Amino acid sequence: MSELDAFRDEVRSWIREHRPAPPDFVLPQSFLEVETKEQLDYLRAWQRALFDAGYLGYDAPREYGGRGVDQARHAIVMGELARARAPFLLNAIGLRWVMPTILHYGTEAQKRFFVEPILSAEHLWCQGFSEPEAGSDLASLRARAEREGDRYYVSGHKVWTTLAHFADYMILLARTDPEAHKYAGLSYFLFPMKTSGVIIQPLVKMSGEGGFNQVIFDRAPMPADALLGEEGQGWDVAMTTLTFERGAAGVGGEASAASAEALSRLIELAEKVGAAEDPVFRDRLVALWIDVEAARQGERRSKVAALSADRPLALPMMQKLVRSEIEQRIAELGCQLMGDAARLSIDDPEAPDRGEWPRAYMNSFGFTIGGGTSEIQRNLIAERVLGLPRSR
Amino acid sequence: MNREKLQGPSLPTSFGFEKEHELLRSQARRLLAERFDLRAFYDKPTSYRELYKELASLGWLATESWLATALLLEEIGRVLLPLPIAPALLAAQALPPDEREAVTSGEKLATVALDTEGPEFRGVPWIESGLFVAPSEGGLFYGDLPEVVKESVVDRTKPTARVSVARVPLRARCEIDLGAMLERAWLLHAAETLGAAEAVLSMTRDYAIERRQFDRPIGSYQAVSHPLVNVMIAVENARSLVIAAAAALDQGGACEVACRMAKVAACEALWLAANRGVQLHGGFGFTWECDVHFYFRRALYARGALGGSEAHRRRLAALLLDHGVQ
Repeated sequence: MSELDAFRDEVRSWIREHRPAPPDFVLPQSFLEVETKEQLDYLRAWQRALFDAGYLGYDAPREYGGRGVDQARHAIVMGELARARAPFLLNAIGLRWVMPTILHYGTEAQKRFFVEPILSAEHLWCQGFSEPEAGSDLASLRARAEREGDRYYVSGHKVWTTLAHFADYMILLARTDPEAHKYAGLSYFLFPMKTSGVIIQPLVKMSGEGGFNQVIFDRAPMPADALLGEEGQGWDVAMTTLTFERGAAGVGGEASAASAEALSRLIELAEKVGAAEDPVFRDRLVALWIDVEAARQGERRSKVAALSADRPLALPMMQKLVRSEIEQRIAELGCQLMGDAARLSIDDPEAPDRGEWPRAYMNSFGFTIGGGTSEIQRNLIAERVLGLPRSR
Repeated sequence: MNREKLQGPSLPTSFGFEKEHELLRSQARRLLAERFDLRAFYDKPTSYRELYKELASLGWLATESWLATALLLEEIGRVLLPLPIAPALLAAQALPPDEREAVTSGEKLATVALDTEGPEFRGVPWIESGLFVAPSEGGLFYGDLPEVVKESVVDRTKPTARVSVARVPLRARCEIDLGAMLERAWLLHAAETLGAAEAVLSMTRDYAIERRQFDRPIGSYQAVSHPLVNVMIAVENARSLVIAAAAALDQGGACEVACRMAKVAACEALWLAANRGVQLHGGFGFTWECDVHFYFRRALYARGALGGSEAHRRRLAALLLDHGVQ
């Protein structure tokens, strides 16, 4: 048995033995919908346990509290978590978007301070990019950060802010130079949330769940060293974060494992509702399976430069669009399979699969809208991959 | 458990890609661009027998790596080269050494019937004369090609024929079994079809930049650019699956799922690309002068040949969902 196979077995049995018992309250489906303190504590303890066992941090150097970068082991851990249908990692924003951005742009002091608490879930992170008037047109954002002595003071309004009500830090994009061109006037901050002048108001999602907020800043202070990168470099840093958010750096197979798992749940549902023999369902399921397999092989192909030489940006830039739409189609087919039971919510004891399919379908729009809508993704691909003229 | 089936075979990280494959591909692209003109062929069909012999002398009819062969077929499909390359490659898999040598050297032509059961075969890739490989009594047999009846076809770059072996029986059994032959056939068909899809995508993209209306290139309208992006995604997905299927064949072992997926994905990609290609070329796209219809014709041929997408998905569903199906 190879070393990696042995590692996979070890992770698999560790998860089997240490995964927390299902709680007596309803767990959210993703980090976008964490609403209550009991959900928070349960999920935070789980991420902490994984970290203590040494399974988180194969995407961060040892000197900052990681396990040393090892893509294969990282992929195994993430794949096994998906396969075991273990609870999700609470600090997803920190792990997937913030940590790689800090590792890329951070000072030595920032790396030493921030990386390990992200892995251990000691610091929870949220993202302050979007504003009511700056969604797809992100660079038109208006939140201000003004330097006074050794501090910046933030004023403005951020919205659709996942986890803000629990977060310790926010990656904050704000305007430091209102005279400069709209892209050049932005700076990127690692903003401590537990400070004065921050008002957090919950937003309710279409599913009825919370976890989502708007954040109003009224001269909220932060130290000058909260700046990540240079003043005026905020747009570049934010694009790096969005690149990670959109999975362009390759997600090490975890997305593939998650899609395969979602398909396998769909098959279980079909068996339960007696649709597994239905030719219409079977045809649609296989069409999805082919797309999931294409995404899996595409992820692998993107790592062999010569096999995407004619259009090198295509695979990385397709990732987020393709994945989010696959997830949505899976959830949609699940709802359709349920027939009239699709009317039952998570509160009804007779709802098949505890009502998770309608909830998943609603929440799937979080991923086709957040991080750049599917429409914006298509614009970007048209311009940057196909070389078409700008659509504006 | 279907969870294991959902995650396909593990393949080498490079898919077995070698540096010389890249050279082969760029040489093929250059050679075909120089030596073949699709519109000239439609205006005045010729047999291109000399080009066929030249390609054979370059080793295009021998398969050492399925990945390399798939890359070549993609280039062949890109220009809709009207030569029976894939049938020769497949026949060579089935024939005994002396006959194989005659085929791979280009001295003899060969074709393969895989679409229908005998003794009356339909849709057989047409050759003037040569060797004929076809299924019979549960195995594959070969013999000399009997007299054939050419079919009238939509895609003139894929001439086909009806072949009856009632009076000229196939003379010997092949080593390879039908299932293995079909997997290879799906892969080659997928690779060639992928090339055609790529060509339509690229000519439609060029047109969207060049054609102006309301003082803007039409490609700046999202009603044009977004469908093109959807075509690109279908093409890239098909390419990932074609490469994975070729790597799976090179590795040996179970390839049915990978090869069927590649076949479906490539044919669906061309189908979509051709549909959008005609539409996005507007009034020009509807005329004989626009090259897109050559590819539209290929889409009509490709999707149904070697099993339509529905049939492949039906079988894939059985492999995934039905217990005991192997």
